[in-house]
Amino acid sequence: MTSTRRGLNRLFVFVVGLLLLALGLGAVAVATVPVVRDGWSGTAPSVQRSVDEAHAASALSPAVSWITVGVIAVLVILALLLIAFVLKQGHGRTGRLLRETREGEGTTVVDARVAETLLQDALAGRDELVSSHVTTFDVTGTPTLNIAVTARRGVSPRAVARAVDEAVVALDAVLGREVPAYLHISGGFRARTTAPARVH
Amino acid sequence: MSAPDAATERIYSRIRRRETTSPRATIAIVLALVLVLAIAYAVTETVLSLAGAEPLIAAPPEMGSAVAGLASYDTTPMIVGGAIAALVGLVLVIVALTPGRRPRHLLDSERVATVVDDEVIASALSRTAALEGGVDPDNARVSVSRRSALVRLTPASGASVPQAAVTDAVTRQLDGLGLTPTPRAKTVLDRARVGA
Repeated sequence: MTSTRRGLNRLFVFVVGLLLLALGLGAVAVATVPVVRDGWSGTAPSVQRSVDEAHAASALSPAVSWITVGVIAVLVILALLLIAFVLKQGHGRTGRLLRETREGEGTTVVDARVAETLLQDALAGRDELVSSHVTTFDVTGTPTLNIAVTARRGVSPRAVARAVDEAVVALDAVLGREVPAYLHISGGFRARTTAPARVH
Repeated sequence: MSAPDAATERIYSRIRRRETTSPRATIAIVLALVLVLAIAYAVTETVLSLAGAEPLIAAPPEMGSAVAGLASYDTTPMIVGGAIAALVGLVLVIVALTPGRRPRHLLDSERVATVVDDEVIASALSRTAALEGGVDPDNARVSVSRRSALVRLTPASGASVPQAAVTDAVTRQLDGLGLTPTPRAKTVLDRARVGA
């Protein structure tokens, strides 16, 4: 339900993986393949020399070169981007369910709490459920109800789905709108530690 | 109740896809934090070297020489280290490209996009299997995966368990649930135990 950009996550993991793979294979190649080994010892020192020369050429003072300043700046920016990337994960909750403006009649705003409370109250009395929790997420711009219920052990998930469906249809009637809704039926710890459903 | 309109259906198919696969968030966050630490170290080392202070491990110019002289080192640690790095990289590439399915199924529903944990399905099937097989609920164990539901029953010694009937009953219940994809039921009988 969150707005986490999964494609970005996968791209990031892929790029880091590819880099590690290339570095690892490169190290093995330098160690084992004579041609690569000779190539490395032939080329690396001269590359290092040109790096040193570049530093000397862009010297800001005897100790500091523009390249060093630039490298530090790039590294700091990269670190900030990575931190922003981490902090972006798992967001998307919203507090507003509906907003409607009609010509000459003003604007109506329905708080997400209204639907959340109504649904949770409707589900609280159900025998099939150990617990229920309703939140609202913004899914590509549309507020969507996220209904998470813990089913009692042994209960048919179809019965749980039917109960929640009924509650949501009742909510539709109250709101006069059909708000998208997602239901997740879980087992989990609380289902295991509470009494199983009784067969009647 | 009416069928969802096209816009809602788009949201539902997005939710169905996202809720049954992994966001790969944990691994991405761990990698990002490791990189941030590595960058913090590199910047610290550079600044120390600029200030003329003692390096923590090695000053950047020394690191450069170390990398340049790579070919002159002992080969065994390089092969081992390189192989480990390559293996980790390969695992990361595979993690990035595979869907990472969660142990969940989609459940057909008109109004609400519904996803069920496999353990909930298993516990519902287990009750049916125990009832149909005439064994104690504690002696019926069901494990549900994406395409199969495996029922294991431990009969009491001397009692006969109608294996085919149990499979039929579980299959009927699975069909009635409307899962996507529908797992195929299979029943296995363990050795009978006295007092089971």
